[in-house]
Amino acid sequence: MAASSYVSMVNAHYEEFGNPTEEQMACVSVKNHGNARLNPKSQSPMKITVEDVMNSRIICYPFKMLDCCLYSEASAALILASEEKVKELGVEKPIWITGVGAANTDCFIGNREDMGRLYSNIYAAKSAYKMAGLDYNNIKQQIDLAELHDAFSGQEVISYEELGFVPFGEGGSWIEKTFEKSGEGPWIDGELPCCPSGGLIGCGHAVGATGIMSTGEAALQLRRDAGKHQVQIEKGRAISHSIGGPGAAYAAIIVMENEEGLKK
Amino acid sequence: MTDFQDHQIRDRIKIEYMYTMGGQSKFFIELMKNKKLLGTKCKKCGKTWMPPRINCSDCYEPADWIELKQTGTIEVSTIVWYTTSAFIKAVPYGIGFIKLDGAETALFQGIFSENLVPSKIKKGKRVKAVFNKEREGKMTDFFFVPEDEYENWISKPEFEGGM
Repeated sequence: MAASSYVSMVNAHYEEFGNPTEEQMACVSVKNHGNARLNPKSQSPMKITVEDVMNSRIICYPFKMLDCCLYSEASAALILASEEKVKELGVEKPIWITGVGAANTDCFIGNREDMGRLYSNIYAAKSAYKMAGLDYNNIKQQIDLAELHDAFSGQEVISYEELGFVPFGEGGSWIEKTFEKSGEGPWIDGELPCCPSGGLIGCGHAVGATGIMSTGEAALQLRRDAGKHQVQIEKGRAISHSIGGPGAAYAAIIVMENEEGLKK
Repeated sequence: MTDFQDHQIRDRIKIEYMYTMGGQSKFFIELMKNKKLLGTKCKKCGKTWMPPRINCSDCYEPADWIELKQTGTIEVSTIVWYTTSAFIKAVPYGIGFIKLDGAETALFQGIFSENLVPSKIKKGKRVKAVFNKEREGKMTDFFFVPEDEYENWISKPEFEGGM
């Protein structure tokens, strides 16, 4: 049932922009399953090819089995503290939440004028970036990584556009380009690594816990404690993204920075 | 430590329950009894809602019931190959958002076709509602078919056309 609401958005996006194609969506699946192989906590690590995704069992057109995350059970936790408490306790390598944005759109997709877009993603991103003093149109150059809500491969591609990484209609060609650059993987370098942890597709989607997981993963990256899937941290800044609710109507974006990021 | 042994028996809990369609009941009654598709029109802004909303979701004013045409246009669709137990016998089947003629919002409903391929039920294709002969006042009482297949579908013994 979740697949049919996401697939409606992806198909409407395809009708408007001619992408993401099935192959471009498959790149996301290969990337996220592949990155998960470096993450000891992931539940769906796989070394697969675009052809494997294309040949996997169809779920609802054009999503195949390997385009979909695995519904799972798991837990995740974050420890949040005030600035005063962090200083009082002398916490080493604290990660600061510098921007938070959340938005809702029509829960019923049939009410939306633009079915191929999730406006809550756009509003949440813009308000989180604004709070952190970042520029929506230039966000890709300002962060080191993004942990996205890739419940379905096609949704990750559309998120690239809604979160401001690339202009509308260019998400498909961007994943193709960045995917090829990293060859056989892992896909944890390049212009902007997305879901270095493996995301929901690679880690498993423990509904309710995944937003916490994605945020924790981004924080580990900024602390340079991510282990084998550590990306290069230059700007000291990352985002995590989560969506949920009926029709995937609710979106939340968190901007995090380490001490170096705060100085920039 | 005490010696703990666990003995389990498999049993079944059966729950019978009812739920109400509340303010939307008129839609389901008309669907079941008269094969009509009712939408609503906001008393203030005039927006036409389908599925119906008894209060306008835009301006929160009450809305009037209106009968809508049973033809419409597909906004977006997919073909389902994997689903819940209630529908698994029907796969593959199409579903999609359909804007009925005269409505401003789209209805999420089954789209069946004798030649079910993505291009047959894509955006912009014209569809018409077909009703089950046996109706219970549920959304599964009707579905849409491409307009050019309508006569074929309603000639089948289990289905019939609308009013």
